[in-house]
Amino acid sequence: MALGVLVPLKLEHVFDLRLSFGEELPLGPTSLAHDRVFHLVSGGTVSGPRLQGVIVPNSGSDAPCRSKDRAVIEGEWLIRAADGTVIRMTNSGYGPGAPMSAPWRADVPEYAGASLHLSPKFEAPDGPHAWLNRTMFVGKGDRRRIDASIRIFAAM
Amino acid sequence: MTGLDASLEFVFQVRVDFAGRLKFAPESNGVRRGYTGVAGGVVEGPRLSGKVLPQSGGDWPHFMPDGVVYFEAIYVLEAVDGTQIVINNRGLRHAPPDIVAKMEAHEPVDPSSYYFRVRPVFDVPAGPHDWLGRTVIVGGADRHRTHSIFSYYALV
Repeated sequence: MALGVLVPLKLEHVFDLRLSFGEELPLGPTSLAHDRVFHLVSGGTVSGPRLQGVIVPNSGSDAPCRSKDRAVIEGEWLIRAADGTVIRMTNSGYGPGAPMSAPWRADVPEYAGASLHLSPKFEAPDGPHAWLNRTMFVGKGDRRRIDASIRIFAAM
Repeated sequence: MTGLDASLEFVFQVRVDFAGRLKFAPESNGVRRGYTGVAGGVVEGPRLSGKVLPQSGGDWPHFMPDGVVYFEAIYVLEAVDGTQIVINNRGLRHAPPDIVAKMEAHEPVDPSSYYFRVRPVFDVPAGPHDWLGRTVIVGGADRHRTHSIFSYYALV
């Protein structure tokens, strides 16, 4: 029995990111995770129907917090759109967990194949990119040790 | 970027009954904070059923000068098996000026006439509901004077 009108949602593919990672800085175990690693974002590209540009080199990090039943994704970096606008991207979401004995290896099979489920946020100035502030997004990510592909969808 | 397709799967609806509203004087930057108490409600759907625990929290929205409203609600869902789940429901809403005027007067408006999307995260114990702690969920809202009905979908 429905409680009321089902609000229909649809996903609209808006753009893709390709990230490259540089230095890897393990924090080691914390009270929340057996494995906390910062991967510095060395650069990348943004392409797609609603946004094109580059990832500002060395502008942030991707820092999964990994425990046995899930990996909590936390990342932040800057995008420079093709028109020069700087946009802050904050990434969050989940990936598969891993046993405590497993070393961090982003390229092992369980991390490949669209296994990251994401809900990124953006902070853009007034102007042509301000729609990023007013839209909810989800994403799918395919993460390897040295790079990642992320596809972003608007929840319309 | 093959393999990064995404779709949404309906998981449940939540009707949240309100108890009292406050809207505070604007800060120097023009942002107004609000408060809406949660009186109770119902959870119903293929993946979760139960109730909203009465008087378990509220929403603390930010009303931005450009008309966008950012929501930040925390309250408790109680599944039929008794499991208590904290929902942190963050979202945003914007609408054309005539729809905003109707909403502020608490007149009925069709949910397709405005954009109101939420991205909740959950604090959930290990057990049958712990998928909520590792699933990206987005929702759409149908807002009424006395309650809102959220329709939630899992990213798959």
